Amino acid sequence: MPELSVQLLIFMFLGTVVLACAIYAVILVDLIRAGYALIFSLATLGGIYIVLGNDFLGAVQILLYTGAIAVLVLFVVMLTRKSVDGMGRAEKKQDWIWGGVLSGGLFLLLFIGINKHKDFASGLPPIVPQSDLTLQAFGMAFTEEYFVPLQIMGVLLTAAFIGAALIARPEKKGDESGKDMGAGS
Amino acid sequence: MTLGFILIISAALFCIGLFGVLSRRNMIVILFSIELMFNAAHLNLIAFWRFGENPLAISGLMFVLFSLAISGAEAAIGLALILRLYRHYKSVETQSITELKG
Amino acid sequence: MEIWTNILLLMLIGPFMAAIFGVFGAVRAPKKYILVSIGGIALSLVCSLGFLWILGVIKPAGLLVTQFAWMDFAHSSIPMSFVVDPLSAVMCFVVSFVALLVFIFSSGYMEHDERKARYFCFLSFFTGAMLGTVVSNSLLTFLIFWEMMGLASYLLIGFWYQKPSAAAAAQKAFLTTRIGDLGLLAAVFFLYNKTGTLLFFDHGAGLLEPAQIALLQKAGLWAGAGYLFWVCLLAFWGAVGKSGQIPLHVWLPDAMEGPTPVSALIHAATMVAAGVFLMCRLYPLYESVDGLLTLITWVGAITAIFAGMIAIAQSDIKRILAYSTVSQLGIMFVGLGAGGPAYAMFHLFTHAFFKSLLFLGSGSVIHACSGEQNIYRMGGLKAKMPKTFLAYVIGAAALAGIPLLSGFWSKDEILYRAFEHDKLPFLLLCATSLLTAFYMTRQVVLVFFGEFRGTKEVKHHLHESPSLLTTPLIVLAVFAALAGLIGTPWMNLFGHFIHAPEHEINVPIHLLMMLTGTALAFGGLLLGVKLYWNRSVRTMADDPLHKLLGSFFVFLNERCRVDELYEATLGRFMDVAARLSDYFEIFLEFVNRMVGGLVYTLAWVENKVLDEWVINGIFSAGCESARIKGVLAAKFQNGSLAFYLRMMASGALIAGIIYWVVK
Repeated sequence: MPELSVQLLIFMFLGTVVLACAIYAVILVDLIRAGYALIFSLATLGGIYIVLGNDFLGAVQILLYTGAIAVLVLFVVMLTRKSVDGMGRAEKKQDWIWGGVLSGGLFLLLFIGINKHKDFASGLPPIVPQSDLTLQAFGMAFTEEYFVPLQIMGVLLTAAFIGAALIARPEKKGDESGKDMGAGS
Repeated sequence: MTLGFILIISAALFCIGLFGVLSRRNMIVILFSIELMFNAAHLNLIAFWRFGENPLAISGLMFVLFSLAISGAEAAIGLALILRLYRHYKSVETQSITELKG
Repeated sequence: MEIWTNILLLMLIGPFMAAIFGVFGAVRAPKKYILVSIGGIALSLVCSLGFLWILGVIKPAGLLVTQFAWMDFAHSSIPMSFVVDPLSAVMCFVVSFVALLVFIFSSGYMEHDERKARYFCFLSFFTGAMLGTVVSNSLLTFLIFWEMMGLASYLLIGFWYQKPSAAAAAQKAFLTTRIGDLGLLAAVFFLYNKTGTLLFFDHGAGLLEPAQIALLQKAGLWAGAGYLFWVCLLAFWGAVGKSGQIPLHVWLPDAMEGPTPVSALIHAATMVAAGVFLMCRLYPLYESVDGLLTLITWVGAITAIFAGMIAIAQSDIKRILAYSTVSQLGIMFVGLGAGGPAYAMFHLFTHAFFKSLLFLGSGSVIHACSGEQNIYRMGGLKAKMPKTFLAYVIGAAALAGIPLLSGFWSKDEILYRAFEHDKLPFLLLCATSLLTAFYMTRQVVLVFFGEFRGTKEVKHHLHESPSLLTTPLIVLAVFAALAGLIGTPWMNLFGHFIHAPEHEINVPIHLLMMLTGTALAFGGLLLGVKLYWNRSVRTMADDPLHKLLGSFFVFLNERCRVDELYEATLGRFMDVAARLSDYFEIFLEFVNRMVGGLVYTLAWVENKVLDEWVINGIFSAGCESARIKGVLAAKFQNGSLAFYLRMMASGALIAGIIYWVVK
């Protein structure tokens, strides 16, 4: 039984929030509500990162998800509202069963697997002073060791950005089916 | 606070995400769930990094950072696709897009 | 002695080359071709005279045998072989001489026939074949030429093939002699089987030489008689066929359908004599068997009297002569059986002359009567055809046995031997001589004496035949008269030449025989004269003999109905056999159809079962299973995203479980 400490309590609280919001995100019919739940969940996850000791990552997480992706999601939800408004649940019981069985099975598997490992029971090592993980260190890493991955990432993101723009681009007048979509010229 | 604890959380998060992917019919919700799964994986990685042999190595962080970026890109493209599909099929339900069958 | 092989070659080549010329286009120049063929025969005659000279005057030591290998096997060979001994030389002379005269006669007789070139071709072919037969030293060669003779006889008898009776007669002749030939062939096979050689003379190893004869005599018994007995019996059967003895005599009278010169050559002097010649050739074998010679004697005697009886009742001039030939051949066989080859050969020798003379004479008569052959419609031809008449009478007298003519001497010898040997055949022979004289007188009187009884038209055209026809008659008449003198008992040149064994001549018996012969001859003559002189016999009913013998005469006229007998028995038998064969064939056809049907059914079944059900079924089943599986697999491709996701997740889960379990 791990020792009960403030860290643990905080951690348990944050964990619960994350999971609860995640469940809400997955279950709610109303997509905007679900989106909100998602944002909240991911933001809290960022909090967990901070608790674990790397504030940079937590900051990035919050920035990225709540700032960018969430906005994107909400935009899309709003654009596609017509189809789901007032329709109620489209899922049948069968769907819930499928999902429940499979995810439950997996959770069971992982739970058992985690508990079997004795290593996982060790305590949290003390948090090291952030002398080696400062922002400066990050910057240095980006320009020295991880320069190429950074550039590649840049390319990737650019491609994704352009691709997404292309895919989502509005159609020409009088051409509903989108014939010129093809392979994306 | 043990590694196992965090791993259980990440496992639960992952399974919630899986649950959403498998059971929801709305494509956008599926995308949400995929995001959840991604984040669960990130949490997993951080946990192992933090509790592992070398908690100061920056490579752990880097890994997760890049994975984050990629998941973001993926979300963006996925949403763009959903938009497109919506325009064509006038619906974001998975069951209305069954033309590619054998 | 190489020169004699050349002579032999020339002798055989002459006629055969003439025949070959005839085949290849003598038709365009028939007159020239006739001369060529006559030349061929003349060449043969010269060669045979040469042989007589060589054998008679020069008298070489040893036998003149030549041979060449024909079929060579690993350990043996079958050669073609020729021999010229006195027997052959005499026959060669007779054949070529008579043939020459017949050729000359034919050139006149067949002048108006449009196929005469063909006729001379066949005749040359025949003569060559006959000559080949007599000089053969090997049974194989002998058989080859024997068969050639059969073929030539068929061609010549059926020369006027448009006449259905002629075609039928040719077929009859061929088939009847064939039946005889089977016996000869079987004999050849058996001889070869036991002795391994087909040669007559082979430096001591030949069939007729003591070594082989001893071997054959020692060979085992079959069905009670010795091997040699059966072989000789079979060979005799062959001679019976060719020489027209009972029961195979039926073809000879019918063979008169052919042109008369053909009858003269083939059915009087040569081919029918070939049977006698065969017996003479194989005599050493017959000598060594008990009882066969007696059989031969009896067959000859019975044939002689039988044919003689039929002859007295015939009305066709050639038929009389045909039956006479059969009868005289019987006498030859008696001579062979009772005495030996010398006696038979002597009678053959004289018979050749006077019988061919008679036939040619009858040809002349028929020619003069514009084709009439019935003696009831002739008569008084003596005045119109003096030369023919003279020659004919000499021939008839020789045949009858009038003393000092050739027939008298040869028949006398045979009577003597018969008397010494077998009494009963002797009596039959006496009766035959009487009948011979009688029917010849009958024929001569009815043809040449009295008044002409034919139609006015024929009478108008009566004339003596041209010299081309009468000259051969005269030549033959001379020979018929004088040829016998070389064989008289006191100065038997002929016998010496043939190396006949020396017999003790019992002079009183011999004189008795001569007297008997004379008495019989004159007796028959007087009888004939008494019955037929100065009678006008126009039809069979008028015939005095008919009045004497009544229905028996009619029976004899119908040739004792032997043909009818054969038809009723053998003919019916063949009919039944043919019918049975037909049924058998229908049965076989039926079986064939059944088998065919069965095969067809099997094929259909195989098609239906194997091909359609089994193979197709398997294939279809395979395809069906593939299709079902494909359909099943396609169900996974239902386009539903949720489905895909679920499948993926399930798969991953299961993989994880398996991994965890294994680990």
